[in-house]
Amino acid sequence: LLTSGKVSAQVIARVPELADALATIGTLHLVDVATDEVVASAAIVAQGGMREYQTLAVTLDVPGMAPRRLRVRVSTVGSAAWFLASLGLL
Amino acid sequence: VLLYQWYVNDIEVIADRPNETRIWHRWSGHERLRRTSFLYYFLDHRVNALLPAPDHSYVDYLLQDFHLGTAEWSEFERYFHAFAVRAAEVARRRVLLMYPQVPFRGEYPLRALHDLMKTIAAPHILTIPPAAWITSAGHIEADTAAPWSLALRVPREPTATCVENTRVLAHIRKGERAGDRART
Repeated sequence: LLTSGKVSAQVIARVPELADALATIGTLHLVDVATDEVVASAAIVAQGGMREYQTLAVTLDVPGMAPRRLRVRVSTVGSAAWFLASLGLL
Repeated sequence: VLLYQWYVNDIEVIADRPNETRIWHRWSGHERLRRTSFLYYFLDHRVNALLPAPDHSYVDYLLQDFHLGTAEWSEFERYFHAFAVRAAEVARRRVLLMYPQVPFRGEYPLRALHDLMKTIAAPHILTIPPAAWITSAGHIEADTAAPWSLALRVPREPTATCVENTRVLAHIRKGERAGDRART
């Protein structure tokens, strides 16, 4: 159950195949539990050149006025294999 | 002001309590006598407390099944978070009263759970660990470097849904959660 407005999410991931630059590895979606409608999405951007886990900050904007029951969905862009270890919402 | 009187069994949104059946509990008159005789009820309770637990104890069960990173704790945290959002809508000041589980000797055995409650009652990150995920692509595997020692190997091909935290409770009941599959 999330109130409307900015939501800070945390994705803990490692992308050993990624070269030095920043790259989008996937997308974090917030999906309405009742309607399956995607209400907010944002790119998951990782730093290349790191083999260990990184904590990636993702900011989403939940529309509307009242709190909404949402679930988290992760999709991948498929450019590199990566490892997802934890998700979190602040 | 909103008061929430929390007792430890509130966390059992998924309950898989240890077997506490004693041999005399199988006697056909046990339940009737327990309801009608306070002496029998008292003796049953006292003898039960004095004897070693037939399975692992209730305290052991709480500590083993409900800690950070488990689907059980994650599910409770999700419920508590939703409750906290609703509570904030109706009351400017919220107070959480935590009752200890008694009796106990020495150091309080459920301090870790009470500490977790203090953490989630304050602004914190709502954690969704692999044990609470439903995966559609890739494989959950053991990874000692990961915070919960599990990680999803995300495939190299574009995938619309790799992970969701939906219908976790139903999948837990069916033994289909991601963490279980990785451990087996």
